[in-house]
Amino acid sequence: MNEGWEFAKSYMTWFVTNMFGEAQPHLHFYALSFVTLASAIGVVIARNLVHAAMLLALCFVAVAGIFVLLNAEFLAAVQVLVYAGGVVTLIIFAIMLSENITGKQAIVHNRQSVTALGISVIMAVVMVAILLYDQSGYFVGPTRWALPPERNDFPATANTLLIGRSLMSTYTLAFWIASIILTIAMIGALILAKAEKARKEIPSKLSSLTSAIFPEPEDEDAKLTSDFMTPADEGQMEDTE
Amino acid sequence: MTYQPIPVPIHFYIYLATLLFAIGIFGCLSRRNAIAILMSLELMFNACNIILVAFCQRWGITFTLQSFSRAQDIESPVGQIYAVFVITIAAAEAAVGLALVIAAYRHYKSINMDDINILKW
Repeated sequence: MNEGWEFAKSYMTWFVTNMFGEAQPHLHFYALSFVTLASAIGVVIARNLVHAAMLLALCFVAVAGIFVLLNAEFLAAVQVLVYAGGVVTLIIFAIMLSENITGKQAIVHNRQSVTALGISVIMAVVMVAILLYDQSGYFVGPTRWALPPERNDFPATANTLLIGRSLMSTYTLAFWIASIILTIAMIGALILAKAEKARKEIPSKLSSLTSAIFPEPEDEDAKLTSDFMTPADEGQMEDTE
Repeated sequence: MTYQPIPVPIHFYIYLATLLFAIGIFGCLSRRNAIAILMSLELMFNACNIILVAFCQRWGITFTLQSFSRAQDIESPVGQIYAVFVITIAAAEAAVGLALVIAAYRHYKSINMDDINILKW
């Protein structure tokens, strides 16, 4: 624990000198991560759901900026397009369809919120401790996560080119499965979101479609009896039996 | 002297993703509204994406890409491809989850998760 405290103190000193000294490395990272975490906390504690959705969009855009810092430009574009463009729009539509926006909920958290806070804090502490301590419990600090000197400048990434090539060669099967999953999810979402009445009509429509494609073979005997037998004949047969 | 930006150490990204994931878990466990729970899930997906891309940046394979007349060192984008798939699945999950929320709202007239307790023991 003492090493941990020493490390925290040196970290604070380092942080203050870097933030308020002349050189300010990683300032872009600090700004982006501050926006990310602040808007994420806002998403979790906002009373108005529309505000939460807007903060979620802000969080997604900040995460896209972090992807740019990590040389993942294609992923940043996808993040803005799919998340900030698509998913947030979907969420806002769901809010408008399901909740009365003007009536805000008085209590947004359930009774287990203290337990939930404890669980999340414990998870964060454990995950950081796994990074900072080795297997036998000795404090090693984040030095093993530091970049080796030969990798200190990242080589260039022809990002989109490489991702497209890999998707079409090495990961083709995963790409197909992802597209099939998207199709299935789209159909499933449509059927789930349909009104109850419309959903009950689907089986009958499907059966009419299948009967149009595969017409049922006509029962020859039944056709013969219905054509050539009068009701009187049927009565006679019953009598004889 | 050319300006050489100092790369951000990789453990900063790990701390950021850890905090984001913890915030997402807190929201997922404690919010009452179903749509808010889905939003917290999206936060957790984003934390996973940050971790994937950062680890790919740190331990990714570097190989040489031979173009027509030049060769350049290139990082293998495996983690980014995984992140693309995560985004795909997250989009599908959001669509299905919100459709489920709307169906549940139509049935229960509420999307409060405390009211939807028909499967409770």
